[in-house]
Amino acid sequence: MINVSTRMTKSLLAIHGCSAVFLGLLLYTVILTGTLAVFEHELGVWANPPSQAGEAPLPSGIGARMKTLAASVDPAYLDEVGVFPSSDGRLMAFFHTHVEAEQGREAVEEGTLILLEPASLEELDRVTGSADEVFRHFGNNALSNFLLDLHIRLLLPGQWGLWATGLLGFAMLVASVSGFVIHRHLIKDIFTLRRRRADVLAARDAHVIAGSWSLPFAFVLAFTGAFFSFGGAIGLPMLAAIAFGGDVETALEVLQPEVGEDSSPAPLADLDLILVSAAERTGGEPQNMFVNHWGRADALVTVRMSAEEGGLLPGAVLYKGATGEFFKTQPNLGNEPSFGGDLAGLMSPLHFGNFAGTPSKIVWFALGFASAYVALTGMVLWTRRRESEPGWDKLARATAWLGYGLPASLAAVAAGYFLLIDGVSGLGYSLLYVFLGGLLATALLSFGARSAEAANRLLLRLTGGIMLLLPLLRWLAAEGPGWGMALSSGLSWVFVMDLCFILGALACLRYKRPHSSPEEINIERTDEDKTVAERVADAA
Amino acid sequence: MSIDVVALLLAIPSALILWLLADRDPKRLRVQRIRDRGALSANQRKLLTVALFLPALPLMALGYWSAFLIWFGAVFMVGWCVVLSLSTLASR
Repeated sequence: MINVSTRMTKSLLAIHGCSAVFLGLLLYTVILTGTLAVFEHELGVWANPPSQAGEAPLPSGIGARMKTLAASVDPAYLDEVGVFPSSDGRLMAFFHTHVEAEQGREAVEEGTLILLEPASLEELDRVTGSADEVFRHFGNNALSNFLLDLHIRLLLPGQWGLWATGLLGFAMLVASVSGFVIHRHLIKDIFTLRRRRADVLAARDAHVIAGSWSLPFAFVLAFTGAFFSFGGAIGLPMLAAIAFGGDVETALEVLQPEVGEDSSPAPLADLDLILVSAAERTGGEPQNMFVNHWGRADALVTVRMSAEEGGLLPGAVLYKGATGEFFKTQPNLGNEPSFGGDLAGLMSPLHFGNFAGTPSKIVWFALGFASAYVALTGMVLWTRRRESEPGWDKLARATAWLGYGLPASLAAVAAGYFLLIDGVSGLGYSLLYVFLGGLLATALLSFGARSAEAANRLLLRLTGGIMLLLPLLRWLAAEGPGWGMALSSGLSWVFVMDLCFILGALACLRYKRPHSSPEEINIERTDEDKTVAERVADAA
Repeated sequence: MSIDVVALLLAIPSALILWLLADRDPKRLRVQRIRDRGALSANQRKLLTVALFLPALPLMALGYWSAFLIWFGAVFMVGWCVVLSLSTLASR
């Protein structure tokens, strides 16, 4: 039990509530999209599957295939070459160089992006241009990318989005810590959920219980999320400003390992053998591969690996490209192993939950769902306590709008994707328009409904209805594989995701909010049942 | 079977202990006005709480930190589900 004075509790309650009122809806958006993004790759495969699943993220034979592709692109683009799986399981090979930018502007990556089938390594399409243009050219990842953009940047341009989500990460930290301190009987109350009590008390219990059980992870997710947002928006530019005169590119280059400049031509070693060696050396699985200075004596091959079984930290190993000789193990940060580097390396697995494949993703999805539930029930609780006050009805409806309208709008984006996608061609801003249209429609429903409660029910059913349509749209409108074909092609996630959407839709359509009887509403808690925070709230 | 799947399986005995702890929790029984079963004593609760964490010990001892995190997260989520389930059962 944490002993804090009544005055302190009152202040913390105000901080906790204010952080929720002003940032709660945006925070809920970031948490909900982050929860869905845990299964980003699986959603990508479900939305636009390849014809056959690949045997591994980098299948055998990819090294030889890269050599034939390298012979077909502009030699200037052999400066930096990367091959990596895209969200939908297909492979992307990006041959590119850095084009010097005008004074005061960042250097631009320009090159050829080639899309490959993961099993046959057959070329599907290629496009040449700046990095922005070529990645926008393909629509196969559009659904996952939209979700990630909403989670990472709230669809805001440039660094603004990172600033916004970084601040939201700090708001979540503040809410977690203040909520922990306010709720003095955390352990004592951890099994107590009063559903038979009046609505407000039941809502309060639902919020506190979900918050208590997800507290350590809410703290971890908030901290790592803020780290990622501010690391890119502030950390790197600050480092560059202090040590490199503001030149981010040079700062990044200095952090890269050096093998000594030698531009004389030299054939590249067998990349497939390098991948086998990297797997044997680290005990992990190659996830992606980058080659600097392809075809030169100073070529350097970087293979990024998954963590070894039971481990958390992903690794990277470097090979000399000309000889295929092992060069060094790349630390998570900088060129020498360090505690700080390991800590920085932990941020990614702890935030994304992808350190052990499906088991860790299931757990992280559940933890994210609990955090989203805490954010939403916190808003609902705050507004319900003040629903008799005129101004708060609008916030209650706004909570209903985003709380239940956001899932409906995201489901509408997926439906829009299936109706608009044509093979792997790009979709431009179409999904953004569908999303904004969904938000507008759900806003009209929320603010036009009889009450916030009626809006909740309506939007939940709308979400369920759209989710129920998704497997049909995937199959009929987007001409995706049926369940039999998907399972026989090793694309089991297509079946699993369809099933999840059907079950989720049925849950939304069948959901009934438990109602308290008039007698139960009149039940008051004994003084012993109340926490100091409640007594303060009652007094207020 | 991978160690990460083993971690999920190890969450099952912990979940059973959590269920027992929640089912016989004195405050829950009092607040939900359940009188057909007795609450666990403080010593019993302490013993069960220690037992709750026992499945995680081999994972930590062998350095399977990813498996430990999976177990840890799974136990917390199961705990939430147990509380929701018991509350629903009690309200019927």
